[in-house]
Amino acid sequence: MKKITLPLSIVAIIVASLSIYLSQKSSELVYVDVNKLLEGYKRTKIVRGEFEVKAKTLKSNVDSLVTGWQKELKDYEKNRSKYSKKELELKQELLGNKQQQINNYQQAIQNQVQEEDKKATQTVINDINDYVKAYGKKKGYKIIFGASGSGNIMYAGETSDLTEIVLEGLNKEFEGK
Amino acid sequence: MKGNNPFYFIIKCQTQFIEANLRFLLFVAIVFFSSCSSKSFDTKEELWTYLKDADNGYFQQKNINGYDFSLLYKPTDLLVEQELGKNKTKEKIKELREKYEQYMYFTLSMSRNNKELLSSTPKNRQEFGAMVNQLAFGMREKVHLYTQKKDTLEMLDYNYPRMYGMSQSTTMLFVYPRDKKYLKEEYINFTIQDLGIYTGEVKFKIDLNKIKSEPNIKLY
Repeated sequence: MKKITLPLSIVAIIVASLSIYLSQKSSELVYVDVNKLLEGYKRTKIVRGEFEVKAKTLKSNVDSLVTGWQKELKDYEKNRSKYSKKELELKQELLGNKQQQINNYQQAIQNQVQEEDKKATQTVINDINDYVKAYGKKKGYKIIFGASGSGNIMYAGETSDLTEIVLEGLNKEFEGK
Repeated sequence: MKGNNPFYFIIKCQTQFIEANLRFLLFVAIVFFSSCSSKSFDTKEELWTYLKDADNGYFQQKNINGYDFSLLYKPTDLLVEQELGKNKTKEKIKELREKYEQYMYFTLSMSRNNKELLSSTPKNRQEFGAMVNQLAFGMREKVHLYTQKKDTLEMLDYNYPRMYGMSQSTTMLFVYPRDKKYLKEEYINFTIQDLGIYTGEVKFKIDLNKIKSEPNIKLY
């Protein structure tokens, strides 16, 4: 009987300390800085780069249309003394219509650029959300706060900040390491 | 006499030590094999219940900006059972298993407010037409399956049955080759690019151990 008591008590101590450690960890209050994650995540730069190329192409289409219209306007102003009254009216109407068309196109392009931006940002946010969820589950955290720098976490000790660890893991996963 | 012999004591200790180790190894082996072996079910309904339980790792779902996405891995036996019908001979089962186990089948469902995408998303006729076209012919460019090292598996086929608003979600079946060289890592990524609904790219991580030890149906 005495022989069993010692190993049993050792096992009990180990189990107790392990459960205390695990319960402490799961109830620990931790956070990640979402802005830092967005900035530091390598996919953000790539997605942003792709978006900028798309936006630039769309905007350059608008610019070339505007330049063409401005040229026509200049020609009209230069030669308006040569036109008859009817020709002037027709020219004005044509220029007005064209301006309206360009404005509509410009508006549509702006909307498209905003939509592309929204899609690109959401992709990165999805990645971060997925990783943080999986990380929290794996490490046994009950809750991980997302600080965004606007004051929702006023103070936290250094050990509560998981941003760097999460960022490192997130980038590793993205790079397929 | 035996009790006083030091050699007998050493031999006895060694035997006890080996016995204890053997018991431990046996325990580890049982745990290992029971965790690795695939589950078997009597009926397809039982298998469906098991698959639909997200804790078992074959079904995942997420909600992004009001859109529900879910992904289900369909084990080979579900397709075998579907084609088998009443002709349940050993030869036929073997033949069908060999046919279907060459591929991996995934069912993707997408919905908004428990409605199909076509019934809930397009705002006008033009958007509706674009979405029909996207779903029926353009999903190869939008859905990807790739490894942790970014090797992409070629989509062999996909099927989008039009339900004309009668279903609660837009559901599609995707087929990929079960190529062992791509199944060595911990997980594989299934992604859906934005379909014009501002969800961004939606990603599901599929545990490859689950696919390797997929459940089956006791077909005979």
